[in-house]
Amino acid sequence: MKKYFYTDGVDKFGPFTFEELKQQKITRETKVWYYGLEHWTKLADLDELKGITNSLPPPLKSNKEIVKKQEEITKEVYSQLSPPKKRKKLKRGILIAFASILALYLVFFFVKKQKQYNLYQEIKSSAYEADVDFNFYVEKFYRDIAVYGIFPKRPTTTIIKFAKFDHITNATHIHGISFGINDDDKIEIYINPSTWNTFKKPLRYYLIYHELAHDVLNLNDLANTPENEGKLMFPAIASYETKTMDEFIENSHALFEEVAAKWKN
Amino acid sequence: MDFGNGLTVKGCYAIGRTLVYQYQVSEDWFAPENSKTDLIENLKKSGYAETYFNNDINVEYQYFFENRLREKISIKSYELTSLNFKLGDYISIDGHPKAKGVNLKLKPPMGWQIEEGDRPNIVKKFLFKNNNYMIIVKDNIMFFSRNEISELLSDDEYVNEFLLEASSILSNQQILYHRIVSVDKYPSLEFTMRGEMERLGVKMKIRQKCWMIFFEDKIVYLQCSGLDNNEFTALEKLYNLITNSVIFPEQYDY
Repeated sequence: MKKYFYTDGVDKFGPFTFEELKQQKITRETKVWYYGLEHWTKLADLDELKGITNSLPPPLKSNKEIVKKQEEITKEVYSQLSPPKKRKKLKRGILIAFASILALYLVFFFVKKQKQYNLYQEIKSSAYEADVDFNFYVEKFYRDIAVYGIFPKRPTTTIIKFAKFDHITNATHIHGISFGINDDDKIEIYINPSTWNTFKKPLRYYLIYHELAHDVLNLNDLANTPENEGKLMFPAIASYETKTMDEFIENSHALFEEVAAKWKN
Repeated sequence: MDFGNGLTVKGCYAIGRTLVYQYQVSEDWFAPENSKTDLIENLKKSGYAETYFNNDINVEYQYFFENRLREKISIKSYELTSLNFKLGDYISIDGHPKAKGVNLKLKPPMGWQIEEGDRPNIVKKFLFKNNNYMIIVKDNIMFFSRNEISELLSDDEYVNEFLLEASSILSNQQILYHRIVSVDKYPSLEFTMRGEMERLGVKMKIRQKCWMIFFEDKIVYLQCSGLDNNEFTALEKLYNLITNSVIFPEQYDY
């Protein structure tokens, strides 16, 4: 009768008969040897011991394998939810680009602000009291907007002066400028005396009401496009030389109506 | 009576406030071209014109050949005035402290006194006996373009408000007529009214003709006043001439 031995990798057990071997705590992986077999061989690989192999329950997967499998599943799910590496790279690229643009914008903004500040300082230092009663126009402006139900805060400080724009680089084209926009405590307007003296009555009204609309109503210039031509907040009012008082009046009323509608809301 | 020129007096009578003179003329008589002007001049020379004018008496001349009326010349009492309807050279109110920035010029009536106004808004006044023509400038509530004011004046309610306010200076006032006109291209409300005014206990019947001119953010009143008599009626023609001479020069500057 054939005798079988098995090993747990450390000790050798046997000899056992076929039936005795069947009773041992062995698995498909257990290495078995008998006379005539050249090497210790896994039970599952021996055809003549198939009777024992088949009687064994299938092997349990190890914890490691389960964890490994779970990791694989999680990874798969995660990969579906999270962007792939390429997407991440793209995202990072966008972030860098955005940061660069923002930085550029900030630099541009700072430079612009600095330029504006320098211009402001130059204009301010060249300003002088005009022999024109600008308060005459201011009072009319407040009177007119009041008729439309617009009652902005009356600033305590009102500075409206002539400034020598003709002597300032890049400012000779300016007819007037307001620095009191978004500052409800101050009206600060500088007028170019050269152009003021050449302007006729309607254009003077256009200029002063335009600047006061910036300063008192905090309105910005309109786009320099043909559909805005004639309007009070059109930026190129020098082209208004042929405008009449009637046109000034109707355009200022149109603006006040718009502002009044916003005030009501 | 035979005047020796082919005319004989036929009769004379009065109907209401009109004196009617009737004449017989020869067959070949025809009224001269300027007969009305000549008759008025003759009445003025003779001194009757003033009497007729002051007493509101009209005169009518009727010329008959046989029993047929060949010619009729009617002269209203106010046509017999010796008032001067000529205008002087332009005067301007530009830069006047009471003109409030309004640049206006007009021709004053010749022979009238030109005076500065003594009340706040009266810029200038032209005076003749009990009659005056005043230039008054008041602030409007805001700027109005000519289109905007024309639109407002097409509203009767708005016009009536103006008339009510303007006529409040007289008591028992009555608006005789009003209409919308243009004074040198500016929309204006023209009206005449009569009413009473009391001065030092004396009540006077007053007539006024007024033009309210809406100029940008101002109202220019051209206000003509006088006693409610024939003289005022005669002077209305002069007032029209003065107002018709008004120029707002700035509008032609741009």
